[in-house]
Amino acid sequence: MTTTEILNALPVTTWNHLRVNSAPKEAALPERPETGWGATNTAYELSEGVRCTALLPQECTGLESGLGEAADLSIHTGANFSRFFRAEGESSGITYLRERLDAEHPNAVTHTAIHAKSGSKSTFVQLIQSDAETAGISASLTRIAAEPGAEVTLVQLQLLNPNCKRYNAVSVKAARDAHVRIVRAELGGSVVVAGARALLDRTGGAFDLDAIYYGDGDSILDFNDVAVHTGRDTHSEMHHAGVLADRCRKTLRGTIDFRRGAAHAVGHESEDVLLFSPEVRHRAAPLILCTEENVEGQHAASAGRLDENVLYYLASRGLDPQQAKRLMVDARFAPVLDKIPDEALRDRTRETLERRLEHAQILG
Amino acid sequence: MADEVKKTQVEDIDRSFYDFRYEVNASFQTDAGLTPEIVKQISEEKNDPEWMREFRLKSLEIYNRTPLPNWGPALDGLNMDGIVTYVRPNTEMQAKWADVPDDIKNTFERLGIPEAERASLAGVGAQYDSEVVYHNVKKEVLEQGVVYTDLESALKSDHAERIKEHFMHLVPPTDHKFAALHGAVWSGGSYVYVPAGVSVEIPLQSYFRLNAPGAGQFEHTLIIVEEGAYLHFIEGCSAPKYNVANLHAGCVEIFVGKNARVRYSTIENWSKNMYNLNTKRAVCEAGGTIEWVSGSFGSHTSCLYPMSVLKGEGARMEFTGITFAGNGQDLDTGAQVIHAAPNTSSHIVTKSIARDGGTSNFRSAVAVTKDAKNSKSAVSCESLMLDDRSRSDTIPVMDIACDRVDVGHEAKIGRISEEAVYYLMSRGLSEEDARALIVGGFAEPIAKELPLEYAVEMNNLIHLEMQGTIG
Repeated sequence: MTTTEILNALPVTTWNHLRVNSAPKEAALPERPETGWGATNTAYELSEGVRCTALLPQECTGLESGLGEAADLSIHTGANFSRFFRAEGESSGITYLRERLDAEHPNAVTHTAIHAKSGSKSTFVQLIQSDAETAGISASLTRIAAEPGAEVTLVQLQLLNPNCKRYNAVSVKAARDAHVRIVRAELGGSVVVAGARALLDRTGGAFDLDAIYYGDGDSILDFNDVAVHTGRDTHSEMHHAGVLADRCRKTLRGTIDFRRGAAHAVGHESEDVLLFSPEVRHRAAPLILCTEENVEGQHAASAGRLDENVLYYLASRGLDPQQAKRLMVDARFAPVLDKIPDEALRDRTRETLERRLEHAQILG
Repeated sequence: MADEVKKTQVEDIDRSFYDFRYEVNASFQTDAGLTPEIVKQISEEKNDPEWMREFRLKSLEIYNRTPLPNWGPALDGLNMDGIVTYVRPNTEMQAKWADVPDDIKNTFERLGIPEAERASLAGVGAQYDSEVVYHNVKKEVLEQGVVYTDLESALKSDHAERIKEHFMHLVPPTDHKFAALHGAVWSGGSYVYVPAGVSVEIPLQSYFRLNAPGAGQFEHTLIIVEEGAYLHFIEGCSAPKYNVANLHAGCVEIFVGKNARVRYSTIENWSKNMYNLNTKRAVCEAGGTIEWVSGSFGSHTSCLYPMSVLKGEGARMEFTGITFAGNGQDLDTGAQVIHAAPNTSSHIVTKSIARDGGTSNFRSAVAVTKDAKNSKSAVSCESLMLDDRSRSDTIPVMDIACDRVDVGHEAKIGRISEEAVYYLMSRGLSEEDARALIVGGFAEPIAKELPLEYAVEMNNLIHLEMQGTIG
């Protein structure tokens, strides 16, 4: 790995002084130590209908993540843990991929591929955790190829301690009428770089991204999510919600790219961010690129503090200010938390979030 | 189903209205390309004060060391060595229309400038190539203490010191390569000074016309509006079509005083060989308002993003823009705003239309600094694609460093609704009229911000665009 590669490049660049064209230098992918990344503490648990394959499925290659090809290649070649899955048939179970960073296993550089066969239905949960202290690195490359009619849901829960660095590269390809859903919660780490890129090149392919983030301290959050529509009747929904506190610096790039041939494509994108400190830095670059006439694209973004009128109203209905605040923050995160398919995990994620919000004195 | 609807073919509009031109009859013209000698020559020719001569040479140095932007439209077609920076028409500036030489007069007559002056303007300035050839202001306006003249005369008047204090302070030559170029070779343009408390009820207008082929126009517009005053300034631009690239790298600096209000309207209809790399910027003191109304129709390539610096508490900006790009055009337009004081607000509304292989991009930047508590910003941009050979990108950026803000952004892209066309046709309209009506409706929120004669022109333009398009 090198530290010089450009990460999270904005698909169409703009004024350099705005610093949104790519991730800042401080967020660069760390170089692989000469001795390698060492041992990992990772485990997986297969659900029915999902099995491991020895080789990287051909279908999953040739795709790029939001982080960019160079980062994908570094994670791929440097991985200290790789697992490739093939899903067949409909399954209501969950395949778990767990990693935990601790003093003995500070780094997890993982390469995961999911090949969903035609008509299959599968759910994967990636749980990324750490002990309370270790300044570890979690870098993951997840490549998803969904064959015609397949449905894949990937839930990514990142609950790392505030000393860790996190790199989350996802590439998606959805074939005819395939539907890939990503649920992403990035709730810890001093540096978080995440980017999902979906290629919808066949009729009826769909991609959903529901993402939440939380940043405090001096953390850097950098996102680059892209939906490329080249197939007819393709559909993308990318929705982000976040809370920023302290001196956190966050940049979100979200791009809907309608290319020629994507007739009747629909893409929606939104971001709703709550700012809890006068020292946060919130940057957003929501792009819509279009070379096809027959499309519908929409973007909406809002940023600010909690609406005082709403807080006042809730207070008038008998909620104390803390309860009212909690209700409003919960409402931001609910669309993602509700999509976590495992109740115990949902609770743990909610608890982690609450602990962090309390710690940052947002809730208390 | 909708796919079976035949693609509409949008023809290039009839620009012949603007396409007349006259032989270049210049009294003085610099060689093509840019060297310190040329800059000195321009400075000498203009009888610049010493500080201005130094300013020009310093700007040239900055120009030489500044790279081209690494983002935005391609500027490969622009060969700076081939651009003639300074062309002086063979006339001195006139205050009487009858004294303007015939070819120049005919140009402006055909564009309807004197007519507009008689009808609805307080004052008019007309620039032909690099020099202002005509300037006239109504007596009543002058009596209020308003100064409206060409910048070079103003430099030699008792406003010289004020100009020195403001000239390229808002847009320094270090801003970007073409601002540096402007600093080095600027020529012509207007100076407007509105004293405190004076409200100029009828608009002032400048009209820029580039006649010489392969030339550059680098006019500088400096507007200072003092406390509590009001001004509406209209800028119009056109040029005939030549086969070599022309360059327009003008600069507009607007100083809006406390509680003052300035409205700056532009209708840009340069010919399709023009690189329009114009820089516009306004700074608003407390309670001041800047309103931009911008219509971009012409030029080969445009990079135009007026910036408003909301420096004083409660300052306000509004930007209303429409961009219409056709075959061969790459129009990259938008707005920038910096909220630098508490309780400031900005509102950006734009519409882009792309057709016949043209590119119409919206680019914006909303920055909210730490000090801008309780500021509000709303951005809304809508794009309409008229065929699948065109391109329309929306590239907005928000950069927020303050938590007590309310920032919203909305973007939409789409096509003409077939249902709406079908409905209008069922009510007796032809398909052509139905489409023109819908595009007109799309542009309506912008049109209503334009001065009437421009709104009419824009509507005509849209109708022309939509004519003979059904096939």
